[in-house]
Order: sequence, then C-alpha cells, then structure tokens
Amino acid sequence: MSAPEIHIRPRPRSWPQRPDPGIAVELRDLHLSYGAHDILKGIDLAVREGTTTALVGPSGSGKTTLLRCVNYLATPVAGEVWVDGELVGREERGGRLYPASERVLRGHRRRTGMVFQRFNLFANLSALANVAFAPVSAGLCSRAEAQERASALLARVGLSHRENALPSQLSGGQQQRVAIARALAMQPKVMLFDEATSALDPELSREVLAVMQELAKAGMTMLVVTHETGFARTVADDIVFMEAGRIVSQGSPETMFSDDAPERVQSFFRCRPQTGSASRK
Amino acid sequence: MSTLMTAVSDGFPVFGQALLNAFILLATSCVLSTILGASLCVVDICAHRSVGLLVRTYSWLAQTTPPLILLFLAFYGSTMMGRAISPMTAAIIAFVFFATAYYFEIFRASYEGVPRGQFEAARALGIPPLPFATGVVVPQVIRIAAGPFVGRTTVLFKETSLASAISVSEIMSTASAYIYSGASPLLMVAIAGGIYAVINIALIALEKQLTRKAAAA
Repeated sequence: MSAPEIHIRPRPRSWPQRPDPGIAVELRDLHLSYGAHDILKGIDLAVREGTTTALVGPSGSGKTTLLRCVNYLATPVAGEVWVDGELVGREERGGRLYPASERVLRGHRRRTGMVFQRFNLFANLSALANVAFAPVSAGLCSRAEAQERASALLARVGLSHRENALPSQLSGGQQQRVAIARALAMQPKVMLFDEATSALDPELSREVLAVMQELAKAGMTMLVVTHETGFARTVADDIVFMEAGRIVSQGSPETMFSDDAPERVQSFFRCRPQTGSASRK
Repeated sequence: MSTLMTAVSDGFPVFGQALLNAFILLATSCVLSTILGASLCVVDICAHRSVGLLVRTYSWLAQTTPPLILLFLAFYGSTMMGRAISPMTAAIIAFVFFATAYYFEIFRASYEGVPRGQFEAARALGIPPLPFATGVVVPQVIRIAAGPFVGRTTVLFKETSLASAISVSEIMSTASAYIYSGASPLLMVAIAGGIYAVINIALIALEKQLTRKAAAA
C-alpha cells in the first residue's frame, strides 16, 4: 500500500509577514473590545530588541490591556501580535491559521515575562520556590537546575538573604523583586511590566526601579506601563503616549519631553510629578 | 455518688459500643463526604456551567432538607422499595448526602479565596494547569478550608445523635435506653453530653491549632 499523497495548500497572499529582524515585539492593527466598548482601536507598534519602551497615558487609555494582549492574557478581536518572530495566539494547521490551543499558547507566553502591579506571588511557596516553580512545572529543567538558577536570580535582584521567606514575610518591594526574578526564570525574550511600582511607596519603588534599570542596561527588551515619568524619561528608549485606545504620540524621551511634543503630551507630563527618576542608562 | 459510679461502671461498655458506632458513622461519613465534596468542587470548577448548576442545585437541596427527613428517607425509603438496609447503612447514606454538600461549599469557598492574581501569574508564566493546581492551589485551599472543615465536622459529630431516630445504637439512643429502664435522666443526659463535649473540645482544639497555623503562614 503506497503512502497517501500529501497536498500542501499554498499559503494565501494575505499570510502574515514576519517582522523585520531586530524587532522583538510587533503589534499590527490591534483591536480589542468588551461588548460594545472598544478598548483598543487599531494599535500599531514595533519594539526593537534590547530597548525599553514606556507606555504612558491617562487611566483608562488602554495601556494595561495593550500589555496583556502581548502575552494574550487579553485576547484581541483583530490584529496580529508578534513576539520574537512568532505570531502569538495563533497556530498553523494544514496551511491555515487557527486560534492557538491552550498548550500552544503556553509556549507563546513563555517568550514573555510579566510583572504585575500586585506582585501575584504564589502565597504558599517561598521566594526560592516561587522562582523555581514555573521552569520545573513546564518541564524546562530539573528541580536542582531550577533552584540553582532561582538562587542566582534572587541574588541578581538583591534577595539572596530572603530565599526561604514566604511572600507574606516580604515587603512590597521585595515581593516585586521576587516577581521579577520569577519572570526571568523562564528566560523570556521580552519583559512586560504592568505598573510594577504603583502599589509601592517611593522608597520601595526605588529598589524595584533600580532592578528594572539594571535589566534595561543588560539589554533586556522591556515594555513598561508606568506612571513614573522620571523612569520613562531616564531609562526608556521610546515613549508611547496612549489615549482612548489609540497611540496618540510616540518618540524618544528627548522629543516627548520637549516643547516639540504634541500639546496633549506636554499637558499630561506637566500634571505629573517627576517620580522614579534614575540616572540615564 | 455510689449510684453515679454504678451507672458509669455498668454503662461504660454499652456507652463504649455507642461511642464506637458514632465514630464509625462520623468517620465513614466524613471520609466519603470529603472525597465527594472535593470531587464535586473540581467538577464545578472544570465542567460546563450547566453541570455546575446541577451541582449547586444538589448542594442547595441537601443543605435545606432537615437531616432527620433524609435519615427517614434513606431508612424507610429503602424498605418501601423492597431493598431494606441496616439502620447504620441508612444513616451513612443520609449523612454523606448532606455532609457532602456542606464540604463542597467549604472547598468551593476556599478555592474562591485563593487570590485570582496567582491564576493570572500562572497563565502568564505558561505553567500547565495540573502542576499549578497541585503545587499552588490545593495547598492554599487546604489551608483556608482547615478551620471551617473541622468546625463543620464537630457539628457533624453532634448530628450523629439524630441517627438514634432510626435505631442506630449511638450515644443518645443508649442514654435514652438507660432512662427508659429507670436510670436517672439527668445523669444519663449528663454522661452523653460529657462524651460529646470531650470529643468536640478535642476537635475544636484541633481547629484552633490549624487556624493558628494558617494565620502564621
């Protein structure tokens, strides 16, 4: 009995094109709505590898939703999300694109690390176990390897002495640094920060911002939703200003904080204190 | 005093058997209800909404029906259907029927008590559901549920006295038998009450210890 003939359907002309090399994240005409309420209204954004992009704008402008679309925690109704050259949230079967299964989506999500406003550490696990848990669960490495790597990551965020502490025994700043180490444990290509310092007082914010700045210096691609204008000004390579589900303006900190910036952007930054400042990387 | 001593010494073996029966009823109901309650909780979380609705309807029904009616239904109902079962078996069926509903609600509420942010973090990290459930969710559910679980179990132990209504020989029915045979009612009720008190004090001490552990963690 001869093997069945396999017909490979040619890809249609409209097949999504991979982003250019050097682009870590690309969003194309991204739309998201909840019922009749449009949250994102056609977002186009490219983030270069090794750069930090700050997403700023008034509350309710869609910054967090945009960030959550990058790892498909929020599912866009239209548009494309590319991370590290891979189309997120879709999978190819028989020459066609379908919504990705949960298993495939888990693989996509591992390319990004996300840090949340409220830390979201696993309450029953120590700092070390929090960091080591995901790589072991995903079958990426042995428990011993994961713990060794977790230990090194906790040292990187300055928490070697708190390895055995439970989240409830850590300060907010320490919890957020553990959360950063936990995200890094999956060796993501891109880090997503969702108002990572909003729940912290200025002193604790500084220690988290210092870790984020160290990551930026080390060449990690970062997409940061922030109200820390000082951080955006001094650490970000690009600032994206959003309002009402659209990108209103985008440019380097020098441009965005200059008199050449659109009036809306200038008035927004004028109203905000210069918090989270750090030395230019 | 001598009457008390005689009653205690004569009654001890009989009360011992009654206590054993109450324990058997409690242990069997507790173990089976815990397994079933936890299984229903998993079904409610994972299955389609319509299945969840069925589970919740059962739970509502089981909690709103008086245990005594369930005992009669299990005992006399089985006889009427021509499949007579022993009073103990009927009591276990009735107890499991309503205790499962209570334990299900405790587990369900404890599951809801696990902060949602952790679920989101697990999704963002690409952690598969099973290791997340066993390594993160279940330990926290157990910790949250420990106090209410032991609390409900102490109530369940007190409810074993209802089984006397279908002639299960447990603590209250033994006390009643002594009273009918001429023993002092006050003394017999005091002995039965004392047994319940000792067991429940031990269970409540266990509950407090578990709650303290949960608070410290």
